[in-house]
Formats: sequence, C-alpha cells, structure tokens
Amino acid sequence: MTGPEVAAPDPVAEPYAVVEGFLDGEAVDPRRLRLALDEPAVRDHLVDLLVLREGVRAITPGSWTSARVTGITRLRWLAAAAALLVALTAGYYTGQRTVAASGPAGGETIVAVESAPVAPAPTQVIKLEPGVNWTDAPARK
Amino acid sequence: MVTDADILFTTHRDGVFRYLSRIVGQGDASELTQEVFLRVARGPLPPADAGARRAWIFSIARNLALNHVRDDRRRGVTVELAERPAAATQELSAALAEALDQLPPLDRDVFLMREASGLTYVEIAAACELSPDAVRSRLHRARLQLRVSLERPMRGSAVPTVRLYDRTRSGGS
Repeated sequence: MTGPEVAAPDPVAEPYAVVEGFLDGEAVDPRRLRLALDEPAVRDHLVDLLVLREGVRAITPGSWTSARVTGITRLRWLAAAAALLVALTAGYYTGQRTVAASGPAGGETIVAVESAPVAPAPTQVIKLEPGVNWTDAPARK
Repeated sequence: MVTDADILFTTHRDGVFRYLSRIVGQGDASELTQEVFLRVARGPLPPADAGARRAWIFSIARNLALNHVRDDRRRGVTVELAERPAAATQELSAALAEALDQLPPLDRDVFLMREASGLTYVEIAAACELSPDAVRSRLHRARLQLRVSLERPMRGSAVPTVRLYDRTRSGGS
C-alpha cells in the first residue's frame, strides 16, 4: 500500500497479451496462442503466473454462515436497546412532570362513610316444608 | 426471506474477503467484508447485470480498504498479514505480502481483483474507473513486477501445484 502511483503502462507485448488473456479466461486465437507458447520466456511467464495465482488465493476465509446476520442482528439489538432507553427516560420525565403539576400530596379525595346502608323490608315470604312443597332429588352419577 | 443482498453476500463474500485480506490483513478483512455487505444491504441495489453489480461491490470494498489504510497510516498502525497459508505456499505467501506492498496501489488493486477475486477485465475497469485496456496494461505490469520480486520463492522447491481453471468464478474459495 506504500507504492507510489505511476502513469499508465505501455500496451502489453503480443505474445504476453495472448497468454495472459488465455490465463484470464478471455477468448484467444489458438494459432496466436501456439506461436506465443513457442517462446520459452512466454512459457515461463505462464507457469509463473499460475504459481502466483495459487499463492494469492491461498487465503481461505473462515465460516461466513452467520457473519452478516451477526452484524445486522447486533445493530438491531443496539437499536432496540436505544429505543427502550429512550422510552424509559421519556416515561420517567413525563411522570415527574405529572406529579409536579398535580399539587401537594395531601390533595387526594377522601370519601367519608357516615353509616352502613339499611336493607329494605321483605314484601313476600315463601315457606318450604319437606314432603309438602319441597322434594329432595336423587343424586346423579 | 432471501433478499438480493443475501444472494450477493453468498456469491461474492469470499472474493471480497481475499481481495481485502491482501490489503488490510486477514483479521481486519473479515470486519471490512461485513461492512461492505452491510452497505450493500442498506442502500438500493443498482439496476444492473451480475457483472456490473460485482464491480459495484468491489468499488465499495476498494473505497473501504483505501479509507482503512489511510486511517491506519494516520494512527501509525503497522498492518500484519496474519494468514495461515498451506505449507507449500507459506514462503511464497509471505514474500507476496511484501511484494504487493511495493506495487502502485492501483496496479495492486487491479492485480488482486483479477487474481484473488477473479473479476473480468470489464468488471475491474468498472470498479477502478479505468478502461479495459488500461486494466490489461496495469495487470501485465503488476505481474511482471511480482515475477521479478518473487523469482526466488516461485522457483523454489516449496511451490504449490497449479491449475488453469478459475476457482473464483464458481464462488469457491
């Protein structure tokens, strides 16, 4: 990451361009590829680039199964915690203001009961006698 | 519910991680990769094809990496590449970290987007605001410089086996 930025390089020489295009999955003319590979220096170039590629790709990442999910979940938990904190704080201050506005603590309503209410007199009395107007029903299973 | 952002994350996370690992180190790369995709999830996706979206994601990653490195420089932090490559690539990988550090930043980004993440020339051009021809030239120049810097480890006995197919295009690591 420390290398200086430099001007764009010259176009790639023909045999190297063919070999590198082939290596990079580009469509190449087989006759031009054959001619390029006739040169030992170009063959070496191809083999070195294959070795280089293996070296670059040697790094293998660990498990990603929940990597992104974990990141998003963490954000969601943080957002939920922040929302809860805001709600609690707002509730606390709202409560404080309501208590302060309702005056001193002695202002509550007291209902005084002078005497217990009296039951009204019966208007009709029913008398029940066993065998006369009262029968025991047999117990059900 | 699987969103477009989830699909983009699954498809491109490894490529973004590999690109960032070579710039900020593996530890910070995990965090930055998540940050890239959080930004992808937050904002509206550009109405574009898969390649253009890939380029867009890497332009976000590139900007975050540049900011990260700039902030680290301001704080005077030395970035260590805390990776554990396979034994065969250990010497090469350590030398590679040093050699990449010597490249011009734009050449390094072009090289890493191609080699670490498998972007096409057109995708790299979109991510780095270059023409495809400029990408081709910068890529070639970076490769030449790295070949010179890494001649000894690349010709040593402990080199990895090679293959031609492009593993990153299938989303594998």
